[in-house]
Amino acid sequence: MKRLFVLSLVILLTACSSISGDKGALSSEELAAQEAARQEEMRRQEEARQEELRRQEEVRRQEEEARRQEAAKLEEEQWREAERIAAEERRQEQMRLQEEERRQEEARLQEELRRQEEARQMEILRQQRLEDGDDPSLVGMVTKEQLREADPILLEQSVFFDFDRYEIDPKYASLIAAHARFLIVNPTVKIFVEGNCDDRGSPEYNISLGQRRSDAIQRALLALGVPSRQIEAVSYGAERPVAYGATEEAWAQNRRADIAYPMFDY
Amino acid sequence: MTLVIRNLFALFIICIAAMPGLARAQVSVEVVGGEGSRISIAVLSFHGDEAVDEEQRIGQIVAADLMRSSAMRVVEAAGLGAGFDDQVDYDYFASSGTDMVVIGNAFKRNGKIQARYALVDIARQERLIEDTVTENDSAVRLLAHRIADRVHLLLTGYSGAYATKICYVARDGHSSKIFISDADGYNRQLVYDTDSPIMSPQWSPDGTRLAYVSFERQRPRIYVHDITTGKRKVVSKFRGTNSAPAWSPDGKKLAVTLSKDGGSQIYLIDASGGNAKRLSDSRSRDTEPSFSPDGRHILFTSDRGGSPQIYRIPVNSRGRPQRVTFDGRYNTSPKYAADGQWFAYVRMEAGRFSIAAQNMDNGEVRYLTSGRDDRSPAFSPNGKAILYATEVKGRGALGAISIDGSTRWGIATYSHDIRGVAWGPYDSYRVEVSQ
Repeated sequence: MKRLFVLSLVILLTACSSISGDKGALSSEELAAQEAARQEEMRRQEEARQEELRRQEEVRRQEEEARRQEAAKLEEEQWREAERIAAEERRQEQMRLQEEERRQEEARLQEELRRQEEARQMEILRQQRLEDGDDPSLVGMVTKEQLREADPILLEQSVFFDFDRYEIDPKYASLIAAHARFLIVNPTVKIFVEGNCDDRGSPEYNISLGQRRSDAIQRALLALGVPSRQIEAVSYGAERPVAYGATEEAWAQNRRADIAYPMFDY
Repeated sequence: MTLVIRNLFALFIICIAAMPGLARAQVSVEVVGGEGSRISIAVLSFHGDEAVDEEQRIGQIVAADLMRSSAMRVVEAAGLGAGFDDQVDYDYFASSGTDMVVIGNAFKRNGKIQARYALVDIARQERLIEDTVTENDSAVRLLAHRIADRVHLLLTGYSGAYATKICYVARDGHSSKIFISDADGYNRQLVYDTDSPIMSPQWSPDGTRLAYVSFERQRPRIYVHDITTGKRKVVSKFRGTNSAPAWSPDGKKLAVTLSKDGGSQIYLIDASGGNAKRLSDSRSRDTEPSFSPDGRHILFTSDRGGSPQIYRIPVNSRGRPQRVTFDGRYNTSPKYAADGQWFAYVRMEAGRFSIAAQNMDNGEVRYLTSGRDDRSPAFSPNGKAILYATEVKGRGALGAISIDGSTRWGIATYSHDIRGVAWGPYDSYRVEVSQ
């Protein structure tokens, strides 16, 4: 509107000057042409300006669009990353589950194998009992853990003796009592009591000394109520030494009786 | 009554350097005494005996055999040789104090070796034996042992038991090897090898089987091992301990020590197993049975008197055990000699275990060895020598001593420990060992 007013004013002033100055005055056609050219010029300028405005608007819009796209891209990337992490977590969880399952399966298998192995070892023992003319139901076998759980003293299985002697030192009373208790509550377990001696003198006569030692342990266990079928007293004389050498120390270690349980051998 | 041989005779050692061929089997002979009453004998190199190896030379082998006889004094004859058809220089040998000379020829043909030999009596200037022996040419030593046996038999009335085998168990840790070798330690063969202890080997009277105790199972059991086939059979596996087998002279029974009825007692079982019949009946430790050669008595060790002593019981009739040793406080491991007159045993005095022998008829006791730890005596089949386990420089070795104590020899075994020794019967030499 303001522009229109200014334009009108210009036109009015021009008209006035044309009227007042006759001598230098231009013809009306010239004036009209000038006026048209001017108007044309103004129109062009206006158009250019408008064009510039449009261009600027376009740039702004493009920038806006780019920013928007950028933001969208970023958002998508973030979303993808989150998705990836979630997938990875799912994968790991699955692996964990599989691993767990595998472990359980393995444990089951191991347990199964252990049972089979135990059954196999017990069958061998049963065959041995039959071959030895023993009661084949005496197939009870033990593990170290089992003995420890029942009574830690059961892991002590040796009784030591003085030279050429077979009397049991009273200090072994609790040990022998513990073994007696274990045998009474585990009636399928049969033990060997293995007598040993040091390597001085006749090997054959030493067998009979070792026998005296294992017989003494056997008698003590019988007196505590262990059924006789669960104990067999044997002698290895000086044939299975645990210590070598002709020293009192080595001899003392070999003068002993061992309580030997049938142990599972894994 | 007690005769200490070692104190009566000066120690006289035959120089081993004169017989370098013996070094390989590590046999060393020591003559302790009695050389005055010995027959002096020279064994000349056999004509045609071209063996480069002295261990394969007939004359050397015969001489080495006779050196181990308490009835012989072998005269050094190295370098002297004579053939069967040669005339012996009587004056030369008479002047050197030689009573007897062995001469001979050797031939090898078609894989066989044959020796034609003569035993010449220098004083009477006549041949006491003319004989021919043949063996596979790989068995030169056997051929020579047969010559030595024949010569010995003619001169003394008993065979030298040279052509026989011995057996011993070599122990290292818990593992055991049963070896058989010639009586002089040569031709050692492995019979059985196991990770378990084995002890108390005893040779069957027919020479084909060994009885022994094995600890391969928790219960010690007695096996009979056929050495010709390698087959083993458990013959005693009674509850408790099965130990100390001894063959009856007919080879049909074994006296064994069982703990099946408590303690250690002596039983008689079939050699094929079973039929246990109790022989000793005591609350004491009775073990180590040994049959008399007539099969009627058993000697055994018992502590019934408070200390281990040797007793005798009849096998087939009821009778009280008779104590036979009274000398010392520890007498064990009796072994009857083939003549039934002597028995060998182990005595302990001041912590030392040594071999002794006692005469059943008059009670005469001979202290034979003076080792620190001699044990497991076993008689030669002629009853004239005792083989036993001993140690030399901490290693297991075999020792042997004549029953009169005058001659002893040793055989290196290269083993950690010897757990039992047996001397095979006369027939044992030809038993083919299955490996």
